[in-house]
Amino acid sequence: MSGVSQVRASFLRSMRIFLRDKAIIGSSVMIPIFFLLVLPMVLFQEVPIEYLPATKGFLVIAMVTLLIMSTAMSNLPGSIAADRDHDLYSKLSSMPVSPVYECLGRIVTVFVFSLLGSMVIIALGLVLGAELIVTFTEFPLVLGVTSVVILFTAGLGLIIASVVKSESAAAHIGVAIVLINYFIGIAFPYRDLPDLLRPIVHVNPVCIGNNMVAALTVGEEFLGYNPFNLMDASVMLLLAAVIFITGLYIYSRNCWRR
Amino acid sequence: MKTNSTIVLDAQDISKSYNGKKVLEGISLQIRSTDFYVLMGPNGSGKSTLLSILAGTNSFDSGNIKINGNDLCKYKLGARKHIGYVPQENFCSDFLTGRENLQYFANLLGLPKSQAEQEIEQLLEMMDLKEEAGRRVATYSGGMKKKLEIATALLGDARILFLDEPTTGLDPTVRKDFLSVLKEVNERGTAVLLVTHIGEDAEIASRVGFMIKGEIVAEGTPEELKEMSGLRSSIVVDAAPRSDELMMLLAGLSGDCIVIERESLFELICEEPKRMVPKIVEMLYEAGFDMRSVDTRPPSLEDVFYRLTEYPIRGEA
Repeated sequence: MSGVSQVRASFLRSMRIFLRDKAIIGSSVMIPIFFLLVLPMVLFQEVPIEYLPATKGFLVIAMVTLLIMSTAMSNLPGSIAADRDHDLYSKLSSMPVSPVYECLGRIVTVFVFSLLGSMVIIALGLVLGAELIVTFTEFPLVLGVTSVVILFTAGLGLIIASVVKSESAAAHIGVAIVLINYFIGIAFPYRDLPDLLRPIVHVNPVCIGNNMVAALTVGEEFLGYNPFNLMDASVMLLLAAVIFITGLYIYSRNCWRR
Repeated sequence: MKTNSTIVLDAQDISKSYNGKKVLEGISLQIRSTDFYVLMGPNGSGKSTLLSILAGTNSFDSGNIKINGNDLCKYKLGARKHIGYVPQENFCSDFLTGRENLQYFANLLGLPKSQAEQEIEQLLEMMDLKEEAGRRVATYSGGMKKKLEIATALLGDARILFLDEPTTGLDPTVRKDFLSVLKEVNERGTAVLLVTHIGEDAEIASRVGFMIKGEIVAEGTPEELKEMSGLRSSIVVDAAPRSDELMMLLAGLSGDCIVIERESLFELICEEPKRMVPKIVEMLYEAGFDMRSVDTRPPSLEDVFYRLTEYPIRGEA
């Protein structure tokens, strides 16, 4: 059997579910859009007008990260847990199908869904006055860093799905982790974070990735530090690889128990 | 029905334990391509565990399983492409249409597009789902979902269908329709192995196995098993008021009868039912019960199961 056809099958199925399930659209895309519309009215009233475009640009990047986290760490495990509830994995394990290819199809869904959602959020942000400046040469780097963030969050999502059996519990635990991550290093620029939280940013691939993309699109000065240093980059790449491979391994063992 | 049958499932000496407790003990089973095999047993008898092992979704401690000549452990892909497994839960996605669900499984199997489309249309036709194929599965009835799942299991080169209690929750009319679809699938050359605790499901089988405590204790055609049990017919008693006194009276009848309390009546399994009917009528009349009906009916496989194993099929093993 062709691995490509298995990845494609899994991707098409998950993508259709993600696009048709109102709960997934609501939690992944509509909440960041809501924040994007409401937060500037509440939080940005005292921001000097010349800083407003960059501040809104930073908010757009944070909302894109929130979207990626919600998709990978809440909706992915929720959908896996639902499939397990419905015995899909019993069916799949009786077929000549590889757990790795099936899982890769789900990960591709997270990539494509995040990309589509990000385009909507970025477009809306630009309409609302956000300023995001990316050079032609920096654009592949933005995509690369975003991909690493997706792999890390998807790895966490797979681990949640593999250890939490109930659909609602898997989704809720994912939401809790998303919110913690969001408030400890994504919602606010590094320079505004209390000293207590700053070390966490340097060991959290989501925060590092978010800051890297923000540095590339909004500017290092706005962020208050340069995330493109050897330590942060190494930690991000290493942890993303470890968590993704661990997630894939646990998923293949726990969900596909033969 | 095809006459040149081949062995599609050959399981030898399968054993399995959970936490040191034996759940399957040296089970051997051979199924041919023409077989419609029903494995009957109460909850906890190990029938679903056996089915999941044979379908390649569960591990086992010892033994050997060949699907269409391919060893399930050594040639996993070769064996699995001949397996069509339908677990107990509805595994098709509610968010997808019937056709999209079939396309998903066809793509997983790597079927070429034209072959997939042709097979999907044929299966939709066979399952009488063509008109509903474009609707989301969320709108399907329980019977339609089960038929769709059978269609997914028949895609590709499936030689044997494994079905885990597929009629649970279906009303009698839908169940009958569903079983006739399975019969048609079998007559087209796909072997069927169905596990159930519902006796009526086994009546259409070509072979039936009775399972108790991880062992197949009796096996044969439905006729052979009925013959083996020595049962001729049972007596169905509908009398009022339903009371412990009525139950005691029936249980106290001479003639080695077993009394089973059904939802709205009592059923008596006796060696010589025709001789017992007048006795029952007279006894109930004398005791002052209002007799609605006292009738005989041919033995069901549930009765036969009870007689041969001394376990009620709808209880715990």
